[in-house]
Amino acid sequence: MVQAILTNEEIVSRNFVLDEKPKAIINIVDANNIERNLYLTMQLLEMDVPMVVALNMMDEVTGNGGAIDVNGMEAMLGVPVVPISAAKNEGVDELIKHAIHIARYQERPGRQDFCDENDFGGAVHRCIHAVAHLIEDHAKAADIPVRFAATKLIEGDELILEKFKLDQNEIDALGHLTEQMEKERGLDKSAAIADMRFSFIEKICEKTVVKPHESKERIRSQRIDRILTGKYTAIPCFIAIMAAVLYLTFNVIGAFLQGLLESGIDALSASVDTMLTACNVNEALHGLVINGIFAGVGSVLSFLPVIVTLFFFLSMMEDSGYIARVAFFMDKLLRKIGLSGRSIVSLLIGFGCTVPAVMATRTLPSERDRKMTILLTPFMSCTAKLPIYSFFVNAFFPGNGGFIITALYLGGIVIGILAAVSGFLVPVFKPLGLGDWRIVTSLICGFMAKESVVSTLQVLFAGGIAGLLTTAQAASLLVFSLLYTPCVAAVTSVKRELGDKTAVGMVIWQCFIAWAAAFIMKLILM
Amino acid sequence: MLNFNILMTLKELEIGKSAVITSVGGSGALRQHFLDMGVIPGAEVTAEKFAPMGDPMELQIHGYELTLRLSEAAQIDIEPISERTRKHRGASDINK
Repeated sequence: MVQAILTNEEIVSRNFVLDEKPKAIINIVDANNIERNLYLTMQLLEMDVPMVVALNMMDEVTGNGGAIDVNGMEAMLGVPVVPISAAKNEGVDELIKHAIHIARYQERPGRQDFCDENDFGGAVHRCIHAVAHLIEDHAKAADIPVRFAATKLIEGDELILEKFKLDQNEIDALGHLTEQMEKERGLDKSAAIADMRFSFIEKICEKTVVKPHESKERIRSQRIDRILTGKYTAIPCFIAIMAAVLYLTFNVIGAFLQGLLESGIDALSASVDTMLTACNVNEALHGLVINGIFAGVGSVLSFLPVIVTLFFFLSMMEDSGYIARVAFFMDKLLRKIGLSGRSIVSLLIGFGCTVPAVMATRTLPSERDRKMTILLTPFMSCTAKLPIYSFFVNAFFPGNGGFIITALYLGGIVIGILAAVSGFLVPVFKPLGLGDWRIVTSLICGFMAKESVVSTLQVLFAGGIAGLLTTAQAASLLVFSLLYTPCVAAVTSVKRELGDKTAVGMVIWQCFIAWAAAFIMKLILM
Repeated sequence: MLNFNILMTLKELEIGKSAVITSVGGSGALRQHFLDMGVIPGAEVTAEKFAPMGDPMELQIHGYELTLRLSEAAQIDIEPISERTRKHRGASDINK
């Protein structure tokens, strides 16, 4: 499933080839999706760099009754073509041998001419050759392949136009030639060039490719999709799957493993304690090791199983292709709050960690989408906030753990959406009943890394926090932790994407929202 | 079979029906992206499905599935055809 997005693989590849000047290119083509993949191949061939085409997943093609005339394709493309199956490690050695060979002897593509003189009276063909003639000197001077430059200039590419600094005569000539072609071909220049490539691809496929019949995997996938993306079943399925993931993570698997790890750490701590006493170790040092290191580090480590479990489920959803389907049916809804369906990927990753979630927004189409998603992602409680929730829930609300944590997660999402939509900025600054320096210090430590809030609290409240805070205060603290600024690593990644001002603004804005929500929580419970 | 619905866009293509693209609207980078994906005049498309909320839609074109928002599909003019001529079958396997 391919979605129409504007991240342009051609621009990225071509800039790399032009700037880095690789000795050779290995172009990996998905043999199951050959028409689409060969388009990039065509664009790369125009760059006149030694290239070998690898037809990957050939085992699937042949397994489903398809076949590719490799020699025929080689002849038509003018470059070596090697069938491989990367997953089964078949053909890879031969591919590497070819690649080294063409790189060593700089064997350029045998042809770059894909326009047919007989297609539509050869309009495109004549135009490209005429333009190539026109700009030959400029191309050589700029060290850019002639055919590539000619095609780009016809398409109207600004970057090449600037680089070449054509004089007025040449610009006029270029314009005239292009108009001529458009008239004869009956298509605008961009469409004409794209069509030229696809026509050639069609010819290749007609002569050398026998398409496989529909594989049973694909049929099965389509049947599953009827439920996963069906009109009335998509969203219920999504809620069910997310609920199952969260339930299994927190209440079942995660909790079980967490219990194991906690017992292990307690046992270790106890025996070290005994040993230190037996060795008459200095009081302060003894205290540092048991109450500082074991208690602090231990309390964070014990949440590792939950985090690992959550990441495991998220990766499963990503690798199975489910997240792409979520993007598909969530698109319309997310558009309503100004995001694209693809934002859901970042938002879901944000449940794991905000840092990669923010980086994942680079694939979003518009700047506005990106900004909105980045600002919304921290509201998706990352796993580092988990220790905070779990700790307080276990201390103050035992037995209701799953429910409260789910409520916190949902709350984060809802408030995030409201904040995004209403542009909530101005804070109402009032005390939240959290005026204890130990709490404030812990929260500030949370800016470094969220999990340090818990370890700092553990160390600073050596007497046990349960007796020292009221339920209202605990709830207020929980809500504040949910909403205030993400860790410095996350803020840095936001800063890298959106600049200093926005990053600082976001930190301040989130802290204010955290204040307001925590205050409301306190009022409700007082 | 001739179809006189001259002014039809991709957005209106019913599920399971095929058409030939007659012109590609839009401008700039988005349009170039359509073209690079094979959404070019003369290409055959088949509507596969619509998302639960009606938007986006999934099409089959050049042997793969492409998802387009309805607002994007509305900029692509098509001419319906009764039966897809360029099926996704091999050169030597016309009947399956």
